[in-house]
Amino acid sequence: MKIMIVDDSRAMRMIVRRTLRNAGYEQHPIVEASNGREALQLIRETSPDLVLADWNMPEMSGIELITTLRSEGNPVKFGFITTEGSQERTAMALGEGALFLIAKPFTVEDFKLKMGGLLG
Amino acid sequence: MTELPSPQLLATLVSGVTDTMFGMSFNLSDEGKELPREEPPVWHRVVLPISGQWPLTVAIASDSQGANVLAHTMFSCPVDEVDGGMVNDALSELVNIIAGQVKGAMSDLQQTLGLPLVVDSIAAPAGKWRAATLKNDASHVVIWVAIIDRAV
Repeated sequence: MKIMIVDDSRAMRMIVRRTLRNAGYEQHPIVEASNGREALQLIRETSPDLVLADWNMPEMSGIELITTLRSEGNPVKFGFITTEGSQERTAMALGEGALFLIAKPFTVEDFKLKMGGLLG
Repeated sequence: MTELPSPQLLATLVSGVTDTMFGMSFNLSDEGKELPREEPPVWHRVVLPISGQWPLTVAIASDSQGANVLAHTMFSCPVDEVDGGMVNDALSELVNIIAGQVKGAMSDLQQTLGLPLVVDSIAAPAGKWRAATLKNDASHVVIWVAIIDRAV
């Protein structure tokens, strides 16, 4: 399963990679994008199986990314890894078709809990 | 919560973030309002606006040595491979997560987190503000964190 990490922070993309590895998902290939617009292009070109996106990014936010994808009929599995994990924000994410929202700071257990069923 | 978080709460929020994300905890060492000094050691500073009815700014700073250790820890790379871009990126992500925690602690704050901004200096705020200086004893990393009652 190909995973795309979308975050404007290189450090956070590195931490997400490390957490995926520590959660036991190291066998999955990973591609990265630094904002929603770059991710949109890469998703069209590389068809990842799961997108893990930050919410608050320059150029195009995570919520704009999933809204655009769904408007194009793209059903790619999508999860948010973001700073704000309020009920309202989670409801908004799920309402747009995301499968889960993981709030930063997160743990390996958070990843296993939210992604175990997807990544095995 | 309609008050700005106390220095102790700021310290708890920051340490919770760093401990969870990369296993580095911090203790509150100073509740004073002293700003990071302008003279050496060089301080790296990042601010993040929380916009809305009550404009706020969350700021963090760390001296060069501390910022390099933070970046090396977050990037999982040797300290001598850390460059200025990595330091700015690491501190920007830290202030982003810390601002989210501050907003969560101020439970009635229905406002929007902005994007982090690297700045050369932070002027002494005219309005209300709270600050804390935190230390990690093992690595001697110092983080200064503040929440300021206005947009910077």
